[in-house]
Formats: sequence, structure tokens, C-alpha cells
Amino acid sequence: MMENGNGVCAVDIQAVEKVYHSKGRQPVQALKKVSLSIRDNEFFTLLGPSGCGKTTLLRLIAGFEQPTAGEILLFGNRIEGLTPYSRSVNTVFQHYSLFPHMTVADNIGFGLKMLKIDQATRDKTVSEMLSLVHMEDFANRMPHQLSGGQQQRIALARALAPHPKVLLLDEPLSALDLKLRQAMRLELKQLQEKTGITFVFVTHDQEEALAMSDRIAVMSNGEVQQIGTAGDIYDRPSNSFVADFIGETNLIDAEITSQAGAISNCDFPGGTLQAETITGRSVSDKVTLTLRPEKLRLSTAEEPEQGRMMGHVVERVFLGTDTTYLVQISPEVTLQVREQNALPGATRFDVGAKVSVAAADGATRILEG
Amino acid sequence: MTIDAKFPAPKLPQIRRSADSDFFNRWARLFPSLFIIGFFMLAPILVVGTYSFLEADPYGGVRPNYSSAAYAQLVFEENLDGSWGFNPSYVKILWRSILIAGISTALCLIVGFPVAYYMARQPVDKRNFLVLLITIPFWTNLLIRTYCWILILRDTGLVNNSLISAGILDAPFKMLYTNGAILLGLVYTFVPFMILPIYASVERLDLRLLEAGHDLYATRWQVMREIILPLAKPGIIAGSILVFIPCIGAFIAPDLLGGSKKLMIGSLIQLQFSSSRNWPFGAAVTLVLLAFVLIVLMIYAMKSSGKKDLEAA
Ligand SMILES: Nc1ncnc2c1ncn2[C@@H]1O[C@H](COP(=O)(O)OP(=O)(O)OP(=O)(O)O)[C@@H](O)[C@H]1O
Ligand SMILES: [Mg+2]
Repeated sequence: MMENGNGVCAVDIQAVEKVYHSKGRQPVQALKKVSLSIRDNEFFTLLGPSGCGKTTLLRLIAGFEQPTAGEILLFGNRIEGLTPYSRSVNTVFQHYSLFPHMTVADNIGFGLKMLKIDQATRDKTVSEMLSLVHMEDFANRMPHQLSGGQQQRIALARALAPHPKVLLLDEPLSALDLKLRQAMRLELKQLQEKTGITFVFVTHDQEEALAMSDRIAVMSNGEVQQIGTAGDIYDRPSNSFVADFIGETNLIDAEITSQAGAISNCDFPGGTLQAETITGRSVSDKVTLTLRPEKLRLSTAEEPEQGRMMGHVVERVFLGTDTTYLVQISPEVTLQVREQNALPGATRFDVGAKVSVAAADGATRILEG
Repeated sequence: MTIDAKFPAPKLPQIRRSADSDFFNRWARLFPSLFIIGFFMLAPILVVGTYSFLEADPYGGVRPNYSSAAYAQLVFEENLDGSWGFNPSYVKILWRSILIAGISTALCLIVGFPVAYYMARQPVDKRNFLVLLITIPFWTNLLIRTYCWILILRDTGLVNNSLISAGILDAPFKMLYTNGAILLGLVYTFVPFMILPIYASVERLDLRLLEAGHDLYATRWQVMREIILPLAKPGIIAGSILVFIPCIGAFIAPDLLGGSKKLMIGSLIQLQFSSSRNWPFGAAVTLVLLAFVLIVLMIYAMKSSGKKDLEAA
């Protein structure tokens, strides 16, 4: 399968299933009919909660596991049966796995040495890689003499040195502290743009995924839930899992009471909201609405009208830049509202205050799944 | 110590201890180890050392007169006319022993490494069972086990008889009383001492490193050479020392399987205290062997510590 526009696709995963069989235990289905196409030169992220099968998918691409069913193509070629050492794919492992008995330079040069590249070219590449990850002064250190963040950079340099066509990164930032993680996000993104290598990045941190990726595949329970750009999956989540997993959201059970062309009116206990009509959902259907907390506004209580709901504050959480309010608008429905603190004229509402909640135009969406 | 002069150590309040308690702290705590080293190691060596400089009593034991004849006998012999000439036979025996011990160690490594590697890569519950299997030979006396090898190897033994009755051989193939038999006996006796340390070091190996190696284009053989062997090196060295040293001094296997013509240094020492009744000479050979082993170990220790300094730099 060719991807439209962008040329060839680097990794094509076609209906891949993976079942782990272990003696005396129930077989575990780690992947269920996963299909996705990763384009060349793309920063592609696999995002999902722990145990959803992200590492399994990477291991299938790298060749450490064989799919139970389905196929994987690398630049159009089937790679079934190819050993890991004959695939032009390198991995940055979650635990770095630097070789403890080799210096930093030997670690980075390892792949090239195995490919029988001559010493001079190897030395040149190693020093290029060291400067790429800003570790020029560490060439002769042993891995155990490095901090976690430094080891992570060396693992990255080691995987990049043979210039693979595809680089797999398995939660490489998870062991770092917040500051370093944020810095490394930017660096990784720049590195990907500079080298033009296809990155397949695994994370369970949605913020990380949104910050770096060209496209994201959201996974859950061994299935792909949605594939799209950060904006796509944030603004147009296709089901309640994605809406809930990416950022924060209010999920409201509602019923479509009327439709006027592109607009559906959805009723729920405590209010009515307008949302874009989606195919397959018509009047008197039960639907789930998603409404991001930051797209709701609080004001002092006024009369209810279109897109405005009345309620009272039941909880207030101060988050630094923002404040989150929980506003109960009916016994069944409590909405989360996020207000920016720095906004001029922002009023603070106390617990128990009567307020009205207004949704921005186009903020309410009907979920397909 | 010019640095000390420039930066005098800050005067810290000293906790004063009486001389008595100082003495107590230093020596009393060391006493158990000093006692064990002194009583079980240094004292026997001193006794052996003393005996080696005494005169032999033809009926066994020693006479309390100083003599360095034992050491002279190592390399010289008294000719019939009373003059002394060079006698290489004992040096040859020492050299043979080193050679056979070295070959045995190499064979133990070749046999032991794959076994240890296989064991260490099994599921945990199976591993413990395999370690138990390795120790089974120790449940029976070594002498009896070595006699069993005679039954297997001799001209009318298990191997020759079955090969002849199967029509593969016409006449028995001589196996007993050869160098091969000695090597077989030594490898059989000492291979567990090679397997266990290697097993321990391979078991600790992080298997994810092997995956990382494959990921970086290393074939199975390259992973073995570049990752597994270097990381198993401490086990290989420990195993080699544990095999080489007892091999040099071994006498049961060389005696029983090698016969009287293939003397090794262990048998030579044993002979001096039994039929030859030359205790001083036996003691002298013992000390020479001890000195040789110590020198080998010291060279190894110096080499490996030198490498560590290099890595740290
Ligand atoms: N070797 C294995 N044998 C049996 N089950 C396995 C094996 N490896 C993974 N699994 C199971 O497969 C499922 C997916 O595992 P996987 O490691 O791919 O998750 P993940 O998405 O990478 O999670 P995390 O974010 O925690 O790393 C899990 O339920 C896990 O228990
Ligand atoms: Mg994982």
C-alpha cells in the first residue's frame, strides 16, 4: 500500500495480530488486527496506556517477535522471517541497554563495527554522533559513569550511528526528570527533522505525544483507536476512549432532540448543547458528547439560554496557571471547567457559588464510538 | 607531600581513645581471621618448609640435621663417581604437569562453557535442577569414580569390548595409560569447577543486551564474541584458576589412568611421602610448585588491576 502524497510508506502494518503463549498460562492477545502506515520521514507516535501493546508492536517491527497473523512491510518489502540484525531498523531501548564493558565511543561505534565499516569512517561517525547529542567530552567514559539522561543520549547516538531507515524509540524519556524530559522532547524533534529518519516513538504520556508527533496512533487493549495529527485527535476524537485519554474532557450522555442540517441539538439533564451533525446519528439517538474543560466559561449566574447551563461550584482546584472548577448542573451531570488565572478580570468563584456555564461555539462534539 | 604542607589538614576535634582500647579494636577483631590463616595455612607451610631443609631418614620422616640436598636433587644428580651432574627429569615432570594442566583447563573451558551457557539460559526452576545434576559426581568418592574409568578404558574394558564385538575393531585400541586418559580423567574430575563460575556469570547477564546487539546488526556469533564472552570473562577466569591449580597437583587421575611412566608432579610428591620415603624432597617439590602457582596468580592479579587503572583513567 502506498501512502497518498508523501511518497512511500516506511512501515506498513497490515492486520497484525500477536498472541503470547506461555506454558501453563492463558494465552495473551497483545495485538488485535492492528493496521497502520507510517510514512517516510515521519515522527510517528504510538500512544496508549500501560499494557496496550506498544512495546509488542515495536518488537514486531524490530524483529524480536514474529506476528501471529498479518504482515509487516518495510519500504514495501515483506520482512517476515528476517532476523533483527538484517533489518535496517534500530531501537532506543526503554532501559538504554548500553554495553557495560565498552566505552561510550565503542558503544556508539558498535553497529558500524558489526557492519564491517572501516575504523576511520567509524571514528568520524562516532564523533559526529557525540556532537549531535552534545556529549563530545564523554567518548572515553564507561556507561556506569554517566547519569540517566546522559545514558539516554548515548543510547540515542548508538541507534542513530548506523543511520537506520527507521528508528524505534521505546519510552526513551520515561526515566528522566520533568525538566530534562521537556528539553529532550525538543531535541528529539529537531534531531528527527535534521536526520530525516523515520521515528516511531512509543509513549504513554499524551503531552509528550502531542508536543512532538507528526501523527499519533492512539492504542488501547491491543487495538488502534484513532490515527491522526495531534490536532485531529485532540479536537476530533473518534471515541470516548480517545477523548478521555488525550487531555481532559467532559463526557456527557445525551439524546439528539432535533437536527437542522449540520446542527444537532442534544438534550441532557441540565441543559441543551448544539453540535455538528455526524453521519449515522439522527433524532432520538442516544449519543455521547465531548466538551473540553478549557472551552467552557464561567460567569455569574444569569438566565439559561442556548449553550448556557446553570449550576453551582462543588469544587475548586488551583493548578498554577489555571483553576479547575467542578460545576454541578444537574444531579446526573457535573462539568469540569478550566479557567485561566492570568486573564484580566478573571473572577474567582467560591465553592457553593451559583454560576452559569457557557460552551464556546463548535466546542461540543458528538462521539462516533 | 607538598600538598599537605600547602593545605594543612583542618584541626578536627579528636575523639580520644585509650591505648588499650585501640589495641583491642585493632587486634581482637582480626583475631579469628588471623587464627584461621595462621593455623591452617601458614603453620603447615612452615612445617613443610622446615622439612625441606632437613636430612631424609631412609625409614621415613626426617633427621634433625640441616641439609639442602632436597633442593639440589631437583636439578642435579650424583653420578657414580661422586660428581654432580644436571638432571632434567624432575624439571621435565614439572613442565609436563604444567602442560597437561593447561590442556585440561582449555578442554574444561571448551566443554564447560556451552554447558554453563545452556544451563543459564533455561527457565529458573530448571536451572536449579541442572546445578544439582552438576554436583552429582561429588556424591561418590573420586577414587572409586576414577577406578570406574579404568573399567571403561582398559583393553578388555567396556569401550574396547563393545567396539570389538560390534566388529568395528579387530584388536583393542590402547586408551588406558596414555596422556589422553590422564586428560580425560582430569577434565572429568574438574569440569564442574569450570561450569559453575561461568554459569554464575552468564546467569547474571542482562539478556536485553543481547537483543541490543542483534538490533545493531550483530549476528549470533558476533554477539557471542563481542558481548557474551567479555561479560562472562570473570567467570571464565575464576573457572580456569579453579581448574588449573588442582590439575597441576592432581595425582589420582594421573596415577590410575596414566600409569607409572607418565608421572606428574602430584604423583611425584605423593611418592616421596610413601614408597620413596624422601620427605625433604617431597617438601621441596611442594614448595616449588606452590611458588610457581603464586607467581602465576600474581602475574594475573597485576595484569587485571593494571587494566582497571587504564579503564578508570
Ligand atoms: N513475553 C510475553 N509473554 C506473555 N505476555 C506478554 C509478553 N510480553 C508482553 N505481554 C503482554 O502483552 C500485553 C502488551 O504488552 P506490551 O509490553 O506490548 O505493553 P506496553 O504497551 O508496551 O506497556 P507499557 O507502557 O507498560 O510498556 C500485556 O498485557 C503484557 O502482559
Ligand atoms: Mg512497553
